[in-house]
Amino acid sequence: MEPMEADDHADPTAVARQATWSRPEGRRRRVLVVTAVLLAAAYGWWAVGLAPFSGAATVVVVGAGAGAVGIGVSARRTGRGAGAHAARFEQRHDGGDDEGRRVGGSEESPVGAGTAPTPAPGTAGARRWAGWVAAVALWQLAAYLQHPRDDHPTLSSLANSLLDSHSARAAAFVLWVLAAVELARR
Amino acid sequence: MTRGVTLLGYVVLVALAVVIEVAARRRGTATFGDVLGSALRWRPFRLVLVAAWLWLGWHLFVRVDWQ
Repeated sequence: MEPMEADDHADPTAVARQATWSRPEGRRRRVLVVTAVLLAAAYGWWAVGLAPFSGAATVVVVGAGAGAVGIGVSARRTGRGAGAHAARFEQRHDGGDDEGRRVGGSEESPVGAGTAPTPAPGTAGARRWAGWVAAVALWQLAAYLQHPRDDHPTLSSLANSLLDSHSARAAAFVLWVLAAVELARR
Repeated sequence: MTRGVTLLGYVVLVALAVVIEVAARRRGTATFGDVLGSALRWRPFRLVLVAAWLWLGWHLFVRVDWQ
């Protein structure tokens, strides 16, 4: 079977997105994205400055996260999430028959409308990553169960050390919000 | 387990993730994004992960008196 070429079986979503980015509509989208990031940065600067352990801080932070999730879900339902992700996976696995073999799904499955199913990854690849996650969890647990914390730092304590300034904490907040959008968009 | 050993463990885990990801991209096998995307198709996992992410934000940005 011939490998699937992006030009021959042009994915409408990916091609349209690439063309749109350089057009006036694309420039407007860039402005909107930059504005959104700047607003998120300002919001983050304010949010991380609130009193710790306070109800206001909880509402502001969790509310922002929930809002980001809502944005991501909305984007996924309008086809900007699942379609793009499936397209990237489709182009990378264009007929290869190795441990990355797709399980279920179809090589001809349409993409772009947000309804295309993402092909399941190969079992070996999924096992590797599951093993890695388990190793991280075990190492973190081992550190958490031991004391003092300085000698056995957890990921939380390390993060707190890194985020020891207002600007670092605000930047991390923005990244957390953007990651929440991406997570919900998949 | 001393602080150095603990930190070394984290460094090894990060390096391992990089190696697995690079190898996956070269071989065309499942990257972390692919596995995550596939797992997120299962609604219960998606709900748990989103809840965990919100908890992480609360844990990092509300529960710490960094000032």
